[in-house]
Amino acid sequence: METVILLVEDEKKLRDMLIAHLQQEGFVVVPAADGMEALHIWQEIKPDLLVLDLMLPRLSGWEVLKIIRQKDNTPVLVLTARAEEVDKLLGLELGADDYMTKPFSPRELSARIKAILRRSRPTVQNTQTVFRNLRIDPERMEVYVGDMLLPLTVTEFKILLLLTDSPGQVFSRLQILERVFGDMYEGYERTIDTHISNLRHKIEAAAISQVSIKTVYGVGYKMTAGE
Amino acid sequence: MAKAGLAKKITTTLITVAIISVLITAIPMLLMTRQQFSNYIGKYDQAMLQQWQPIVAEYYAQNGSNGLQDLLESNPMGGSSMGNGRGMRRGEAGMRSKQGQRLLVTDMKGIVLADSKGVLLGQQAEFDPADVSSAPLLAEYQQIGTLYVISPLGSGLASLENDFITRLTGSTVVLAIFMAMMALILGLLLGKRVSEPLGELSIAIHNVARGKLDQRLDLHGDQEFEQLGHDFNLMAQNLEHAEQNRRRLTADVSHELRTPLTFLRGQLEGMQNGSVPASAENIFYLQDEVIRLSRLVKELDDLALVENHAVKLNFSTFPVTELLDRLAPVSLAMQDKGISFSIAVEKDLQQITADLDRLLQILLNLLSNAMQHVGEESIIKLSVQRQQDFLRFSVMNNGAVIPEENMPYIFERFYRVDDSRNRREGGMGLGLAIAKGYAEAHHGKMWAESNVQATTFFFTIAQ
Repeated sequence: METVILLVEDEKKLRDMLIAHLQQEGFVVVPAADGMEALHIWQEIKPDLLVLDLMLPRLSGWEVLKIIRQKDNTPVLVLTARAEEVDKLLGLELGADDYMTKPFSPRELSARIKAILRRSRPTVQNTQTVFRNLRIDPERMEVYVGDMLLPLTVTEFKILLLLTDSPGQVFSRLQILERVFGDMYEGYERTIDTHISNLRHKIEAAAISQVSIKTVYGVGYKMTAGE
Repeated sequence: MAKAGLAKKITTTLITVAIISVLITAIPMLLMTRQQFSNYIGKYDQAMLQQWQPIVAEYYAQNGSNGLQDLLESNPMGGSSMGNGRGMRRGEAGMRSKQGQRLLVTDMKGIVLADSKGVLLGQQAEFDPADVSSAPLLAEYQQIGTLYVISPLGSGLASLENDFITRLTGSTVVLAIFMAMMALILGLLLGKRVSEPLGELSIAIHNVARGKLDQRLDLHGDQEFEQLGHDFNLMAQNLEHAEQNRRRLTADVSHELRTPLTFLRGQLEGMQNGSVPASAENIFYLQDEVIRLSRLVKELDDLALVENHAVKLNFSTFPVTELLDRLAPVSLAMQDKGISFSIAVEKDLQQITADLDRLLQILLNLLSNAMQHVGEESIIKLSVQRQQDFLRFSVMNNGAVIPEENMPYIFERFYRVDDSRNRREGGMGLGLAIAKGYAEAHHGKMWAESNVQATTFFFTIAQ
């Protein structure tokens, strides 16, 4: 089943960039450049989810959100440049489902979108990530190698999920750190090494593992197949 | 230990002043009363002397000291008929004792011949001249003795005087207490009047110092306090504005940085995971974005200089043509966009004295602003005119009217008439604020006029 996302963003460059990313993730993306257009398209196609920038010409994102909320519960993920607006957004007043503060990572945007969709229609999705005989269930926070459940910490789980979502792609330590701990920990990249090392031990302990985490010298880590 | 409060000090001072002024008034009064009384007594003594002198002298001259004592004791003179001389021999002993007058007669050697009290007879008389009045007794132009009148303080009029002084002292004390209480009441009232506003002010200052900048005062009472309250409010308001400005700047800056950063981040992530090809074209996009970000940072620097009035101008005198040459790229860009661009410089204007780079920056900012807002059949016109000690530049475009209510804000940083904060043409909303600051650094000003026909930005620079 196709997931249709209405992307409302007035900055063309940003819009194009986000469209490319969301399509890459397998979503069908319908763009809108301002609030009025967004409302029209929303009424016409009834998308599964809205990604809504707040600063919009003609009709602001606030207004769009209000109008939509008067009619139905289409999930809305708000993009905002102002962290101070967040409380109002998520409270009863406007009822956005989630928000992202610019600048954000499109990868994380996709993750949040998937999370919202999981919540809004829990039965439909198979959200497990599988690579070789490694199987990750984000809902239960469980990782299996073959049939064997790995005893991972939350941090190790997050790192493994990030790496396994894009096998073969190299992630820098800072990238991993940001995804796992947030952006407050710049300068502590080396702590990632410890977690990776623990992860490796746990994966290797499952003798039948077909995956491994490779160190890319001077850059970071990646998930690969084999021993 | 806390020092005594202002109100306490005022009260104490007032009480002290009240008591001192009562004393200052009362003490001379007491002294003067005493003086007046002694004057009075002195005068009375003199009158007595004048009455007695001829009688005693005559008697003494005729009869010698014999019977003189009887004469004095009989006191033939009536106090009520002074100056009538002899022949008034009505016994008025009561009056004598009442008035406490004592008469003495001495011979030339100072031996007492007669004493109305009969005490000092035959003794050498020694008097304090202050206590007595005396008159010589004459016979045939020769002094034969001395007549003394003594008014002792302890009796008669003197006791009246003492009585008076006692009462005066009493009422002075009462007055002093009364005045002190008045001073206490007034002092408390005045102290409250002074210390209350000061207390309010002190609390308000304390609050402001702790960062509660919306603190305002409503001081009533004396003019000085109202003025003080007014000035305090002005100060607090300025502080609040500065603080708001600072916060808004931080918020604005982060806002302006967020969108390009999101784009950069998305593109780079795309290249990393292969969804965006790392082609030369895509890399140029990223570079442009970085250049724009760098420009924003530079503009923020300029703005900081302008807002701190710290722009250092590099003045030179250059021909107008040099300025116009440097505007050539703008003319080309206008041609590209099909804008009809004209420049009108006053004929006899040859030289300009200014910071050429800054002046150019002002013009570029105004011209690119005009380019963003030109209307259909776009026209942009730059004119330069001399006005007394100033050069007046104007940049006119035939674009949309700036609504009246937006006019006061157009020179504020990050302000855009269109609230969507769209960065379509790369305008960061800093250009006008910087241009205005540069014009002001040239001792000029900048303003705008807008109507249906055209929107014109004016600025002046001193020459």
